[in-house]
Amino acid sequence: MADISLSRVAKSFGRTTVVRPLDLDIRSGEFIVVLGPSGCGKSTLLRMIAGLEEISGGSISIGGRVVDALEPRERGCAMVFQNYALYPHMTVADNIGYALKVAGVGRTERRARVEAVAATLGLEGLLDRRPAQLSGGQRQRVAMGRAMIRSPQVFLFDEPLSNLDAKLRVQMRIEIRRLHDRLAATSIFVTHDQVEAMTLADRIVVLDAGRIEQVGTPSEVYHRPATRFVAGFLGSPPMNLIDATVGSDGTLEFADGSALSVPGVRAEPGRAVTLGIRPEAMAVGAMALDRPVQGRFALEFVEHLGPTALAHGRFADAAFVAQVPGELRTGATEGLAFGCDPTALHLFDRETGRRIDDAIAAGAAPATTSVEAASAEHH
Amino acid sequence: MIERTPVLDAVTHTILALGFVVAVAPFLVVGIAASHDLFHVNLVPMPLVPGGHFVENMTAAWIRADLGVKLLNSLIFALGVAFGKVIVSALTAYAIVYFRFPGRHLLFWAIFVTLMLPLEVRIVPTYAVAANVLGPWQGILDILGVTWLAEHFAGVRLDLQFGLLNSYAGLILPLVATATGTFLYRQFFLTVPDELAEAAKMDGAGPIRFFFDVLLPLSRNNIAALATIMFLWAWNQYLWPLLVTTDPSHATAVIELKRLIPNEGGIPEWNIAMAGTLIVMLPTLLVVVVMQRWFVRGLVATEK
Repeated sequence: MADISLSRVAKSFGRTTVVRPLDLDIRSGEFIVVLGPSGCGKSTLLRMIAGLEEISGGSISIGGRVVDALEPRERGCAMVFQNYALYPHMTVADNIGYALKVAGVGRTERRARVEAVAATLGLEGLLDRRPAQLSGGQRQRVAMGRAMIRSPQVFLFDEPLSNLDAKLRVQMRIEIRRLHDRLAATSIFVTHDQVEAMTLADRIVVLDAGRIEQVGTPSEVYHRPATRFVAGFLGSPPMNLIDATVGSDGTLEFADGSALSVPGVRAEPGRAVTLGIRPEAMAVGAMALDRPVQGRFALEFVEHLGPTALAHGRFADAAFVAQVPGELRTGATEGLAFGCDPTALHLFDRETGRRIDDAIAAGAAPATTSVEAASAEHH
Repeated sequence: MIERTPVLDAVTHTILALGFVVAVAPFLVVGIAASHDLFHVNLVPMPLVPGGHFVENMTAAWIRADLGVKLLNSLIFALGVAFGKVIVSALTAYAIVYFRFPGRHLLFWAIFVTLMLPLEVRIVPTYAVAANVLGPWQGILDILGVTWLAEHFAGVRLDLQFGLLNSYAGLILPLVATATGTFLYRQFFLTVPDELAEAAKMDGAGPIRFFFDVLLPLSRNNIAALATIMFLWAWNQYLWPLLVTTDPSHATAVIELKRLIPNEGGIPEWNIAMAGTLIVMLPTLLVVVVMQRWFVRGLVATEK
């Protein structure tokens, strides 16, 4: 159990800045997921906490102790690597127990602890095998066992699930969360997979170009994205983002001359903004008619996913996606009507990309009982 | 790819058979010559049917060249060089690949350049150093004026002498450094994933533990390959042992062979020279047969 505190931590390789000075406080026992596209500096951040990478500036403390000058082994962290990094010439038992061997723990105690860890991971029958004789999921488990054996204060996961197939990934995800809850250590999990982030995290740290875009619970990050980047990065399909200008009479005007009437818009007229609407926050067709915000987009094709479908088209001369009921086949030639509540709209400053808070008055939304509105009521 | 090409098969097999004959024929001739008596071995052409004096010739060669002692010398020399090279090159490559220190690239290129300076090229300075290992230090002291100072003020004449001639150390040490081995290891170490080193760091293993617990076991094929090559190379060395061992007690088997080869005007006992050759060849043959599998694996690919 240990808090982790980063203050003004930065990293640059020569003249390339990978991580800009950032502050982050992680509570003891928390499960933090660092989410971002490849090259955003998330792995570097993790490796700096582990001590595998020197920090170029700032300070890191773990459990109230500044660890900047400490070797990885002295920091009380354990790490699960993306490629597992198992020692190919050692058996599973030796791999798991290597840290204990280095620490000088005797053979009998080592064996006992290795067996205990193997039992919690379901590896009992595999202790004498080599990594090459294991499946991907089993290797992953061995890597986790190797991290667990020293009962570390902090678990660091560097995209540990990205080499597994889809089904195993879901299974291991659940196991990782279960282990975290049982071991009560602080976990930091780096991934580019938003589903992993949403399902695992107590809090998500969204990173882009070495900068923290937002820190928040999965619900906060999804429902109130702090920046245009977060809005576009989270959600599948991603949020529709359309450049607009705030009009004078409660409308948003678009570059192609069309406009969308938004009751309760508060941003000052003339301000350049980006409008964001989640595909799943919209109702289409006849159901759109009783929503306060209504528009129409040109339907191009429909992607069927089973229970739902995605209607792809164009709105205000930009690509536009709406989630629609699975039975929708094709749209009318005059376009597909969509509607949503004003609270489902997100406005971002076009210059800074930051969210404009209270841009739309929540009170303007009439009470509705539709599912979309219910999910939007979180905020 | 499986194809039925009978003609091509026949041609390739013929070429293979020819190659085999070309490779094996000299050995056969040596073996046959070693089995004839003095008269038959000097017939022109030499009869290609083995004669009946094989054991007799072998015994003569063994005794005349004192091969018991010389083979032991050769063995110590070749093993010393092989393992010395394995250790030195593994450590050098480890330093070059895994550590960032100033002058790393300079060092790497310096080692690279030594590829162009084989023993034969630097034989005189190497001999000078072997004759007096402290010679270069003496030179430095002379240049710095320390010798002069000592002689004038303390009345002591500094003359550092430590010779390695006629010793195993003198035979082995100058041949131990190897650029080829360093490169072999460097290439292998570069294929070892960085994450392995990082995992070892997280497990608390320092650089020395990582080297012995992870890198060395992983490179056992390379060790086998390098040790085999270098054993054969050292066994066949002629020039260096000839220079360093003036005293026959430290001579190697290959040098002693020379004494079996008939002098001009002497009795042309080629049968005994060939018998000696067979004996000296035998250990290397054994090493190749035993180590072949490892040897090929170590050179061809890294273990999956």
